[in-house]
Amino acid sequence: MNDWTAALALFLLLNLVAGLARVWRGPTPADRILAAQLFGTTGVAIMALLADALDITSLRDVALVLAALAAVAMVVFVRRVWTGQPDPEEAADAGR
Amino acid sequence: MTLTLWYALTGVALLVVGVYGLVSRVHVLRQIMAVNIVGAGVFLVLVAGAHRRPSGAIDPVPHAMVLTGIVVAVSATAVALAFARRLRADADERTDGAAREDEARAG
Amino acid sequence: MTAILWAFDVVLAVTLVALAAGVLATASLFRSIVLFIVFGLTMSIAWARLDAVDLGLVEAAVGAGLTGALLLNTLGHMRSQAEFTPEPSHGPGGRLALALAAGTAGLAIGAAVWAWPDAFAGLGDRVDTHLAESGAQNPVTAVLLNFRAYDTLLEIGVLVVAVVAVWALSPMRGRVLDADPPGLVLAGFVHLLVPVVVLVAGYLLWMGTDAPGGAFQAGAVLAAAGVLLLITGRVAPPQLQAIVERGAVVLGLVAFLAVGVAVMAGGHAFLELPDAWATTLILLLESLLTISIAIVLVILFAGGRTDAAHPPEDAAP
Repeated sequence: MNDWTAALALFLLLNLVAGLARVWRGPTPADRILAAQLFGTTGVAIMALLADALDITSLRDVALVLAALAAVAMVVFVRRVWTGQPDPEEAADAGR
Repeated sequence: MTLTLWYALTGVALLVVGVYGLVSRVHVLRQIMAVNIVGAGVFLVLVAGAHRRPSGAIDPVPHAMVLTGIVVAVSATAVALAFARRLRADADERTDGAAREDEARAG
Repeated sequence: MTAILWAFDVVLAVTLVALAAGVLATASLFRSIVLFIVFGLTMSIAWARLDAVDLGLVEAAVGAGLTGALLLNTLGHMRSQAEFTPEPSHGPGGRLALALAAGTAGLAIGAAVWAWPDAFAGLGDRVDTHLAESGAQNPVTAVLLNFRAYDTLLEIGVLVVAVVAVWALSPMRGRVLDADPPGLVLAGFVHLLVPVVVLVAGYLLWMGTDAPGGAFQAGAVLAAAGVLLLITGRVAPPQLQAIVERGAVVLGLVAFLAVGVAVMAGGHAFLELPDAWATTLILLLESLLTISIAIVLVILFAGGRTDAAHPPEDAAP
């Protein structure tokens, strides 16, 4: 079982890396924060799998905390940053 | 290469990236994030070093230190951000004041 | 098995360094902050890989949650107040010199790390020997609340100082209060989520003496619930004059000092918990610390006082 769960954790980690492309490219702030939100879910799964792969059962508690708090940054974004307008710094990045 | 060495060297790499970012970037928010990255690098070195007991267990003392460190880092970050907002607010106030004086002179 | 975990370690380390570089390299501050949030999440996976479950817990709450919330909040403030101006940067020569200096420091530290002996017990054996008398089964909690309680006492002091500093830097001009009510989805979500988060915090606190968890983890999780309530306008921002809030801020520090001094009556040294009472005292201290840590972190997020003498200037034209 440990082999399988370790391999699955690696696969999910690679998924996270692939998802970083969306954070990088955007194009809107909402795309970026949604990708980060997805990583929260990926992180929960990675923790649960590592709990089995490394035989550390308490890692499930970390998965629990990640699951409970994944949305905090998103809520702050919606309330304090998101205006529906494109990122004002996008233009500065376009040339890169 | 052992697990300890691998993660400790990762920590050193984070430290280098963070220090370079801290001195080369100018925006205060990014500098605050750079300090946090330097901190993460230092924490990683400490905790990797705590993973070397012959029994295979961890040394809890560096873990406790880093736990304290993470909480202190977040409160220091909050104070730094409060300074950043205050600086920005004061700068805006000065700009507004100057603009009003210009208007008064023009009028 | 080992090969797969090695591949995991390599991918994780490269991702961490790439994320750090991305945070500092990108021109868009918002992208930078999102990458920083992902960096915090990835750090908590690294803690899991190093058997540091206590750190994984606190990083999941602080690194992936609160720090990102703090940064986004400040970005929102700055955006509302000023136009974006491109960041000035050093010339290529200056950047090369800076990179060389940082690289040299890294090589020196790397060499020191490389020279570490493979096996090193540190203080682990001594902690194990005395764990039974500490009043906690979890060695990290034993170190924090008993063996090195001084550190924790001073840390709570640092948190109180941070609140004083943040309060001293405010009130903010043009401070945005969350007057507009949240939408139905957000309100309902927070309504469902907050009780769950409070339950998780209580669980971590209770488990903390025997398993990974404890006051800092529980406090950070509880603070996240506070941030959710604050940002959706369910609770008012903390008031400077309110005796309840001032009391909650210093509660942990005062209780810690009181316990530290009280044990001296029994002939013990300052902060030396008597063995018979250790478990009870640790649980009591951790419960009070959780409340203080949570309220401190929420106040730090709120980012300043909103006292009646200085009403927010939103209403002004």
